[in-house]
Amino acid sequence: MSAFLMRIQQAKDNFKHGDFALAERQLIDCILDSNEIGLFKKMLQGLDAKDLAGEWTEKAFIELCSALEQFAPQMPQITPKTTLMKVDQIGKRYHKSGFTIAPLSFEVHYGQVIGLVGENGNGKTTLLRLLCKDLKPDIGQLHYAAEANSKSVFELRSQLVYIPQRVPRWFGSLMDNLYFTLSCHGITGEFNQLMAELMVARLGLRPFRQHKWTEISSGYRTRFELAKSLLRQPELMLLDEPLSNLDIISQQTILQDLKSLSMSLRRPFGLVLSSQQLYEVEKISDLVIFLKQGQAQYQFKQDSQAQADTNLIIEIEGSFEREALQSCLSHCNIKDIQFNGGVYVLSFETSTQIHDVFKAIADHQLPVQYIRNITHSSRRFFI
Amino acid sequence: MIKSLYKSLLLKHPLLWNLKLPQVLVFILLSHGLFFLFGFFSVAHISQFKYIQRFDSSTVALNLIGGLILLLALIIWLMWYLRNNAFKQFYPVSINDLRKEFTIVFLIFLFGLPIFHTYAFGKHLHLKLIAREVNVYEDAKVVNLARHFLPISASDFNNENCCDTIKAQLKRNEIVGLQKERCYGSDVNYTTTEEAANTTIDNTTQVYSLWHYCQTPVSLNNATTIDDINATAKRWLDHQQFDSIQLCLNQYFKLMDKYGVRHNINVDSLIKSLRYMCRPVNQFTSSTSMYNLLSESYDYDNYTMVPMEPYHADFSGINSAIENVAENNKETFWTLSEWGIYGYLSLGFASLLMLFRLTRLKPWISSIIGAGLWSMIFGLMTVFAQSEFLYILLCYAIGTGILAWINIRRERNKLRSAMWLSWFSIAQFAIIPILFWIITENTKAKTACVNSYLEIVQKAAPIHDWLEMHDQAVLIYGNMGICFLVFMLIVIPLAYRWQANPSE
Repeated sequence: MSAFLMRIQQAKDNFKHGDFALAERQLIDCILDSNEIGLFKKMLQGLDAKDLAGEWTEKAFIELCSALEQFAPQMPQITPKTTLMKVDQIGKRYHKSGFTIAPLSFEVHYGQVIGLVGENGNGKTTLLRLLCKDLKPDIGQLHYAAEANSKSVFELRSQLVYIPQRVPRWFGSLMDNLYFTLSCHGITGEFNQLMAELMVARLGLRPFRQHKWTEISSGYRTRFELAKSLLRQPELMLLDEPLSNLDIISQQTILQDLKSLSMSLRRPFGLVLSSQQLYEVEKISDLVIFLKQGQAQYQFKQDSQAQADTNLIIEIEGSFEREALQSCLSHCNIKDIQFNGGVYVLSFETSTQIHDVFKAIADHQLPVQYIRNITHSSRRFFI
Repeated sequence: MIKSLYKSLLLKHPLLWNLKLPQVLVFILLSHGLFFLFGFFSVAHISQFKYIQRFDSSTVALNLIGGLILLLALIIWLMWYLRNNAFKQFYPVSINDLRKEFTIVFLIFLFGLPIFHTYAFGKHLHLKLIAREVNVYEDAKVVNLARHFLPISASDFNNENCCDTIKAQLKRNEIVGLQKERCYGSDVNYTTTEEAANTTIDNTTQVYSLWHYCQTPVSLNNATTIDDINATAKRWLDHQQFDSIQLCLNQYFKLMDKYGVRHNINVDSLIKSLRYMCRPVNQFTSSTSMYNLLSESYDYDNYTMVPMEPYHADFSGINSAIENVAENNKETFWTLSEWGIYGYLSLGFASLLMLFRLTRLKPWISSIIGAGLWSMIFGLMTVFAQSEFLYILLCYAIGTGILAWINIRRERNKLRSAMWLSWFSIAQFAIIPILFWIITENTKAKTACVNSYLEIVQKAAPIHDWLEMHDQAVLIYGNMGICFLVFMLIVIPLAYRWQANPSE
């Protein structure tokens, strides 16, 4: 089964399980991938009907899926692991403040998400600005796959979309802005209109189509900025704290949306985002870069063998004393206990497994409120 | 329909949509139409020709309102236009898109600014319609003939009102003119024939008479005709052809009525006075001036002079009315030099606006301040400059020196870019004048002192004559062309490059 058909099947399954919102988003992704104007229209008709009726009818949804399936043979396959940006030992020093970003290297592939985490003032924004060529690195080099097809640096930069933390103000209605963005990118006429409508639906902005900047909340402004950036069909998206204005539910949704959209069959892109929402970012990231005083530490997604070879580190919180915790875990080969802002961070020997710890806690009936395995999380770098 | 046009532009032509071109075009057409109508209906009768001007005091209020309308329209347009900047958002715009945008902005200013000109054009067109039946040359002939028989005040005894030919003047005053510039080694005596004549005539006293001075003629650049007319008038006076004179004066005062020029002169009294004047004994005497011609009248029956009512007549009014008609008829509107002024203004506004769109705010503001400073430095230097060319070269040297110093320091990128930008915006205006000066100086005719006379030893090159003949066009349009090209071929590509790579 092709990747395209698998995605349609996923949408169908989610619909069957009653997860209509997710199914709808997945269907829109597939339709955007199809690039077929007839399907765009059908989808929008379906959305209009859904708005009137309150929810999708199974018949309409399945019909759309079936129509979509016919385009499967024409769809491109999943993009192989192609490097779209190679960061080679780049570093930057601010002469006035003396702040330095130490040389760092990594690669970004199509459909890959890189998370940048770190406390405030540790160089996340500077790194993003270096990546989008807004700043020039003092050392090292940046290589972009898009360079080969770009006649000028400007053309290259038009494919690197950087969204700053403070979304710049826009004027006029939301839709007019999206139409303008698309027509500037050479997508004109009816296709422009339909594509903008679909993207608005994809990011849950349909009720705000004719709203202006002052009429929507900061969270929706961020979503709008994302819609605008996604319509630009970027090679690389660089997002500075995109989650800061979003509520907890939206944070999860947006991150999943971004991950899903970055893996588009027709328009895949790489994503580098900075955030303070460590665990949310980790969930979708293929690589997390932790920046501390400009120094980078890397957290890759590891295979099961590599995971097994790593020391267990646990974060735990509850109404107990340090001594009680130590005695509870005394048989688990505990190496170190750190108390950090109301939370204990425990390091164990390699031989200790997570279920050993759970068993010990259960046996001692320790009053635990919160526990998390942070062995493979960059959370451990914050300690 | 308007909405669909608006959406169609948004979906297909984002540049035109962002420039709000339909709204701008409608505004330009409406304002021009309105001001044309104001101008057209600001005149109604031929009598208005005697004091007509393209822009007179009556249009001050209109200019003020027009200025306010333009300013408001500009602010509203800028509020729309500056909302979106595809270039600064790194949308895929090309250099040619930016050139297109600059050209459109330039054209918007070029066609939007001259609404006062349209006012004058409306006025001009209506005046042309009013005066389409008038034969100015015939009217001028009547006035120029009648001027010999009209009263003239003491203050009018000047060279302009002398109705002798230059040759006659010279002969009359026994002046031999110097037809060539005299030279004595390196010193050149610039005394010319006319200057010699002027100075001498003013010193003579015996020529303040009817035969030599009269009212100011209507000047339609027809000197030969005026000589003929002067000869005719003198013949009539010499042969005492008072019927012809009376007929001429009747025609003259009819013309005065036609052009709405007021007067209270009685032609019969005037003829009587002329008869008295023309007695042989009165000819060529300083006392027989036309100054007091109508203050008293000669009573033939009692052989005495009798006092008359004081006269009043606007002789200059009829002259300016006819000259204005002629001027209005031959005046070509929207001349190149007028477009030149609007062109420069538009180029300035368009450049300023586009630089704001293309560069970052700090260098833009600094460059404006920088350009002001450069201008002040240059302005101060003109006070002390002895040679224009040296002054320009010195300005260039100083400017280049300052820029070199700033560049060598290699600090404060924004200041550097602002200085370069401001220097560039000022320095480009000197390119054409310097080239013009160099070419004309090197191709001009060469003279030498031969036998005490300045003689041409080498003729000027054809390009020199051509440049001298078209100096205004070359300097005005050449400079404008250079500025336009500099913006199109240097500023826009550089801004395009720098926007993408600010560290450059």
